[in-house]
Amino acid sequence: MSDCHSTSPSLPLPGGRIALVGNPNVGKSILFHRLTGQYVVVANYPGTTVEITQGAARAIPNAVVIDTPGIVAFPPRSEDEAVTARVLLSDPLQAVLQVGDAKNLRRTLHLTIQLAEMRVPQALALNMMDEARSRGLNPDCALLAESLGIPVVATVATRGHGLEALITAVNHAAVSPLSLEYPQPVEDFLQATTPRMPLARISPRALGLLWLADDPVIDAWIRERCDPDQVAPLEAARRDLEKGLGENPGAVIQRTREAFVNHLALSVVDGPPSARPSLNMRLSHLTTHPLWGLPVLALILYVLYWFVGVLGAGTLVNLIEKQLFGQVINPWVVAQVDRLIPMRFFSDLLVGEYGLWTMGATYAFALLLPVVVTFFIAFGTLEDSGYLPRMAVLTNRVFSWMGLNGQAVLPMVLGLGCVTMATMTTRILNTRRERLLVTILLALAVPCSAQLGVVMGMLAGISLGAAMIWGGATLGVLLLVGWLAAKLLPGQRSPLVVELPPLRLPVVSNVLIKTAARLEWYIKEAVPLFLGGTLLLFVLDKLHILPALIRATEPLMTGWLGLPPEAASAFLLGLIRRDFAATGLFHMQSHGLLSPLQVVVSIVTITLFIPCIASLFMIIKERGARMALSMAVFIFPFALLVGGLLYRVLLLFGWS
Amino acid sequence: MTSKPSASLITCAVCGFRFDPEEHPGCSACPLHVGCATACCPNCGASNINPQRSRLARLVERLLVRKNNEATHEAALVKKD
Repeated sequence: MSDCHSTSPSLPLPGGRIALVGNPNVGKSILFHRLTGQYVVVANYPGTTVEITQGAARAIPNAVVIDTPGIVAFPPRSEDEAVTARVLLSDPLQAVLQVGDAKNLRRTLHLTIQLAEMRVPQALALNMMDEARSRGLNPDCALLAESLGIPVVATVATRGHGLEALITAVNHAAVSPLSLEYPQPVEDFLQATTPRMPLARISPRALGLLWLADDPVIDAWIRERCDPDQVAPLEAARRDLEKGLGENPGAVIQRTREAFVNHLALSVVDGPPSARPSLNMRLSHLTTHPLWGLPVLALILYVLYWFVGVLGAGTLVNLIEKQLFGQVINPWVVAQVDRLIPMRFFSDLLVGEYGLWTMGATYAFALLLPVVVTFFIAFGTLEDSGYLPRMAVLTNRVFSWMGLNGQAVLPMVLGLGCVTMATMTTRILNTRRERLLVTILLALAVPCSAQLGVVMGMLAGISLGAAMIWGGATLGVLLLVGWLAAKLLPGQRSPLVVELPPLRLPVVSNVLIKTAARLEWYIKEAVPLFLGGTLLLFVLDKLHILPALIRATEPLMTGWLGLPPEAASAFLLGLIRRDFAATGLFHMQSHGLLSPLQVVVSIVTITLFIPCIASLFMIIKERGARMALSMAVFIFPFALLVGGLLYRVLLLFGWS
Repeated sequence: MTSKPSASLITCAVCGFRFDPEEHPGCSACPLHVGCATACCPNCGASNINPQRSRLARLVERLLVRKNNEATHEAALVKKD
């Protein structure tokens, strides 16, 4: 394009620049310090709040080394990663030194071929070579260098091994001649559009590929340099290509690269030859298999249900709530309070029906603590085993059906731990549409760990059939609302790109340490809210507002949901935290105040209830007050509607 | 990172990536990072609990490490005998 112009922001340092680029946690910063020494400059990259470090290279005259933020692959997925993309795109570079993890060659090579396609002078440091060799991997650097057409050096940054060879490699950095062949429609697009791309420090072909993959940095960079009437044909060509391919071009490009990287990695790794895949690999394939993965998932959910529901919420709660608190601690506390505080009002505040001790503390420590501890242990075990990313892959198919796929699955899985944190995690999603859809679904139908634990405990007290009704109703609502919302908010879908870690046997001490951290966080966040909620009920009771509220909501509670009127106080607590409400219902169930039908209806309603206060504040922060209010206004009546409908359906099927 | 003991690394709940939570790769961009007890995974961005910011976790860690050390010490003594 004749009138496309270049306004490259660059760092104000003289001499040739060598950019250190690599995945996070590959030893890049250690290598940077080995190459530069102690005099370094830390400054924000122009126009961003991201700090990058640079320093004069010790052994390369007049050269400055820039330590860029770690990047998994292009397109960048955070502001930090975007800075790395901007350095490559705009800074005049003498060489790009990629630092890669030798024991994770596929991940390393994925970035290597993207850099090769950019046609920048590059060299590759295969770091952590000692760890790779200890695992029986021995990548052949010479063969890799020959295949890629760039210098490749083995290093152990922590010990300074391979540093001299690395400096020589940087001095001989070369533009790789590597050229991947993509499916014909992609090649046609590249052939047609590359002559129209603005001049950049990377190749027009790489620009075209990044444009196809919806790279936000490239998108902004091209729009900065081209008139809208020049961008429009590029957009139209991308849309046409997507239509022709029937999927996101980024996914097609990704698959082509994966195939190349797999082939290259196998050909250069001098590991022990294996005739058949290892047990770990076979298990890994089984967990993500579209058909066989489902029974594995069902088995894991059943074990989770047994561990949390039967052991945690059944046996442990029975021991702690009924025997320890019910027969030992609470009678003693009540007797002491009655003896020391003769004024009824104050003794009720502590040990009355809505007392801070008899309700707030007992709910938190006797009912909920055993449930959340068992859930945290189970969740920590699943995390450390590497199963959760596989679950994301497995469920990706279901989510893609409702128009939500790719990275959107990840926060949903994380939501089973904590919805508030998962809401914050929606930042990893590329489009506003996906962020919004996932936030809605998280707020509506994803129960947090504490709530899930209590729900499992309540269901374990009835039957597996009740658990399936609850699961079916919740999942049905999730899919229906997700599908409808995706229809209302049409937009592009992005592919799921997730690296599957190896399946590992969890280390008990790690799981326990993580459980302790989660427990502390839970106690700090939930217990004050439990006490605050109890105080609210106490005040409302003393002012005779609570009985009036229970009477006023009786048509809704009893008439519509088929629950006892007293369930209204539990739902009132649900406005503070859903797990608090679930605990109230659990308490009612354990005292024989709820029938199996009422248990199922009440827990489906409370699962779909408005999220906890912390989540609401997070939604306000992330999506704005108007959106948070809209969600609350939708969710509150919707949960009651679904609960009432379920009650009638179950009655029709003969439940009582 | 090779220099870090494996105990200081945590596993991301979402993607399974193992990382050092004290490196905080993306924290400067987050307005809530002061006093934050979570660590964002450098691979997928998911927020994870940072056990190193929890007193209870540190206590459990100390107990487990001490127990391990004592067990190793006892095993060594038995071997000596």
